[in-house]
Amino acid sequence: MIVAVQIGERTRQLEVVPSDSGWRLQLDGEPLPADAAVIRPGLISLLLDGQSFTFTWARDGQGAVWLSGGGRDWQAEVRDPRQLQARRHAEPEGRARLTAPMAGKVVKLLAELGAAVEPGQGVLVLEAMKMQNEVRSPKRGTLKTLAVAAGDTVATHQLLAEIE
Amino acid sequence: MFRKILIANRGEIAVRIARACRDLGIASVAVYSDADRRALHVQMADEAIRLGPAPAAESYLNIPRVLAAAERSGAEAIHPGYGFLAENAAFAAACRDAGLVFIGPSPASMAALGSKTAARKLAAAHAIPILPGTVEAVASLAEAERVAAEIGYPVMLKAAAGGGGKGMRRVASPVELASALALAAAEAGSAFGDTAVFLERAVDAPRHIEIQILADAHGHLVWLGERECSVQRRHQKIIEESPAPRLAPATRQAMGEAACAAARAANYVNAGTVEFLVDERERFYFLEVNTRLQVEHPVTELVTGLDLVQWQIRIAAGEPLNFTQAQVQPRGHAIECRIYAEDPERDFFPSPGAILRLQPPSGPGVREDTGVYEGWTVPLEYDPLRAKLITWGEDRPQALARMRRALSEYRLAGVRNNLGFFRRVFADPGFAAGRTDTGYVARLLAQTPPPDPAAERWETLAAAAAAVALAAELPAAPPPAAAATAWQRAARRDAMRP
Repeated sequence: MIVAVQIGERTRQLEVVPSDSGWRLQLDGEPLPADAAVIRPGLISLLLDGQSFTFTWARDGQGAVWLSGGGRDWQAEVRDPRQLQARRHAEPEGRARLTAPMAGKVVKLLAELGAAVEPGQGVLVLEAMKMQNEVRSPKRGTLKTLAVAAGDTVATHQLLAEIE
Repeated sequence: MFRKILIANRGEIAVRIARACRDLGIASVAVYSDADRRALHVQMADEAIRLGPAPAAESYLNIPRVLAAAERSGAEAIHPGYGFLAENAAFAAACRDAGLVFIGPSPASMAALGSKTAARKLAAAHAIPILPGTVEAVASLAEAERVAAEIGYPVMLKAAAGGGGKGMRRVASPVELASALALAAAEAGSAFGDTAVFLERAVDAPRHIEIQILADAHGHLVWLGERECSVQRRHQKIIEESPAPRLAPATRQAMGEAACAAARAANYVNAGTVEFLVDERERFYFLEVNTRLQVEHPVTELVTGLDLVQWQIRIAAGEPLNFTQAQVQPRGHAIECRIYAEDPERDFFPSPGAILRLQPPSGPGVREDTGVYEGWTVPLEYDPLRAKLITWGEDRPQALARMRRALSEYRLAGVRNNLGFFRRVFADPGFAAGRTDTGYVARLLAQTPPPDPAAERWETLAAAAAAVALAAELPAAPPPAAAATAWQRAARRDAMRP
């Protein structure tokens, strides 16, 4: 099986083939001589040049993969390479989408539909876990869409407003 | 001693109190909202009673429902933990009126110290130094503008009923005052049900040091050393340690005596914490008294060897302290990290969600007080504190080394969290040298992180691990013969024998 693993800006292609002793790995077409073992679901041990690397992994509801190991954390997208490309092309261009940085409740709108907004200007106030936070516009433009009203409960990453 | 205690709280502190009850042979009763049916504290207590729907006003803050649960369970005492009803004098009085023991100070002591404005008045009356500002809550914007102009900007707005940085705003100039006052009052109202806000001079980059006190009902009062709590974000502590680095013994002694004076003036009984600001010249100013158990109490427990929750219960049951001030001899060094579900890259915004993986550290000198478990979806209605990680060492370098080790062992996936931020703090030479004040977090985040020569290798192997995990998830192909175990092959050979 060949998968693309994207961490940050970097995408690596990995080929994983079951072998007698575990898994055989190729990284970007080159053999990766690591001894890989799935200890249990979500826990993977890699031995490379006599060094031990242990990772936990989990996939959340949005399909993002969470990896931890050696006091480090990563968030990865693990996909078939063709899927990944299609996704990148599908992203809208040229306008700013304001999404909820956290799940919470819209307490107050600070700008009206059609209003001109400046970079850093507050668009609405979101309350979560007893903290009120201003959600600000990242750029100059017009508030083209307001997807929520005061009192609405929103989920993380939910669209709040669009600026053009 | 009590036979049964109701714990009027949730999360890690409810679990902590249930454990103290078990240690003392006392039955514990948990209460829970509809959002918390599967919460850890419900599993850890001996009994559990539903309070109501998820909003705190209908559950954990609802006094009649908490009292009804206590009556139904037959509990003799209520431990309020911290937050929620812990500093509510009306609740303490309602417990007493219902024939229940409130594990904490008397309603009168709470009224005298519980609000920051009342405590400022009391401190001023007993020659304990305070910062200039309003003694009462601000009545109007005009008054706030006048006082701020008098004492000079920057000023701090603080909720009179506040704690934990909620309802608190720093105001740098007059133009910000109106909106800051409105936001602080709204936040204070939402968090504490009281919109009163007072104003005082802001001390930039002070240190925040507090004294733990313990008093019984027989006139014994001791202070149990200090906790340095300067490392804060959004005015909320995230790292606490004891003893405080860079604090002269004479200053520590003077702060301990001032704390005892404040407690004595309020006829204080049970555990409490007196908070001080310390400026760059090591002058200290009284801030407030927290009339309850603090989040960071384990730090003091590890250096004094005392179980503060057990002592709260024993004092409430009428037992005298069985040690004197001279016998309080802190040993070694302890430090705590508060593990929050929040995103340090997004200004520490809360980040609720499902805990997909959780593997806490252990080993010498490591303690974890947690309220969560793998597989639980953390409700978004309450505080984002997940767990507290505390390490102890014979000295500060050993405590820090153990924290570094514990942080490298800790795995938490599914929610954004501040573990990576803590790893950076504990790798920072400035922190190791004890150079912390309330501006520390902002300064650290403004720096470029030091290069990590092993980062590339680890990231590559993480990607490989993800690919292996994905391949292992696929439906298994029919097992090749070679994959059969030696036992299976031997059994097959035996079966084929004539």
